[in-house]
Amino acid sequence: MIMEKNEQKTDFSSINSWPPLETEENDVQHLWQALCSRHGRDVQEQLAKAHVAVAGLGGLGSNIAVQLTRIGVGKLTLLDFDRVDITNLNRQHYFLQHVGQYKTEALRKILAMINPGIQITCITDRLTPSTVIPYLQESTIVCEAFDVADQKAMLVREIRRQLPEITIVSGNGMAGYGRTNDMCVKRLGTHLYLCGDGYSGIEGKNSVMAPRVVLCASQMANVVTSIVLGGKP
Amino acid sequence: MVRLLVNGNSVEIAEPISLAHWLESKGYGIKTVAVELDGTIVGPEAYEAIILSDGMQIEVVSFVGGG
Repeated sequence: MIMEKNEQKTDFSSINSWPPLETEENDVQHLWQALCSRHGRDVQEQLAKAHVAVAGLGGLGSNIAVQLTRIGVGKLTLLDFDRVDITNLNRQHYFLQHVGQYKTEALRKILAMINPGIQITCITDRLTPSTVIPYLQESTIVCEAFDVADQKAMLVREIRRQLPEITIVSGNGMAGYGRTNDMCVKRLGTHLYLCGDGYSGIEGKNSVMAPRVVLCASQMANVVTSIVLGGKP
Repeated sequence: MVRLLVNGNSVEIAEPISLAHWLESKGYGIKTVAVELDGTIVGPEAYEAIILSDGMQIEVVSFVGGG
């Protein structure tokens, strides 16, 4: 919901002069004005109309959702069947208090603390070939943020097969540390973007760690932003 | 000789073989790839039946774990 109460340009230079943010409605208004002031009204209106699904809310998905919320993407559909585990905290955007909670619900609360004006749909369920259409059909972009290789392949295949108009942004290959310049963005055809290095998996001794995972998540969020606003991913 | 375009690169194979055979020969995991043939996604159930022929354009993405 976007609430536009006045057209006056707010002076953000002296933050102490802001009125107190006592209600969520005030927060949403002030955030809208702040985002328009920062990004420009035209850009913000385009972002507000976007509907992005984030499939998987782990290292990639939780960080993507936070970044898209910060810039004011209007609607997010968040999908994950799993709960927050303490071993997730080395890279996933959750806090100690969330351990044991469903990722969908934990992330919903976190995102509301950033911008309660974002419309969020939570689906605490697995994505399978038979649920791709009902769960994803209302989104124009899907972030493939799973962590198991055959599930990642399945999701890309099934979206290409069943919902070919949707653009997929996939993260593939981000384990370990360093090798920053190996992380890149590739476009395949017109509807699939691949972020990551394409080869660093968790098979073997490599583990996923925050710096490199969040690098890949940022690439994915940046590609989403450029798809919404137009421009080179 | 069968001439293919694989991920934008020209590739030649000696004789027409199935897509499944070709994927295995290149070390791809059947369950961890997404394959498009001439712009259309192909499911794993069809890999055995598809015989590679001259001019085919193949896009293969191989997924690894982690995310």
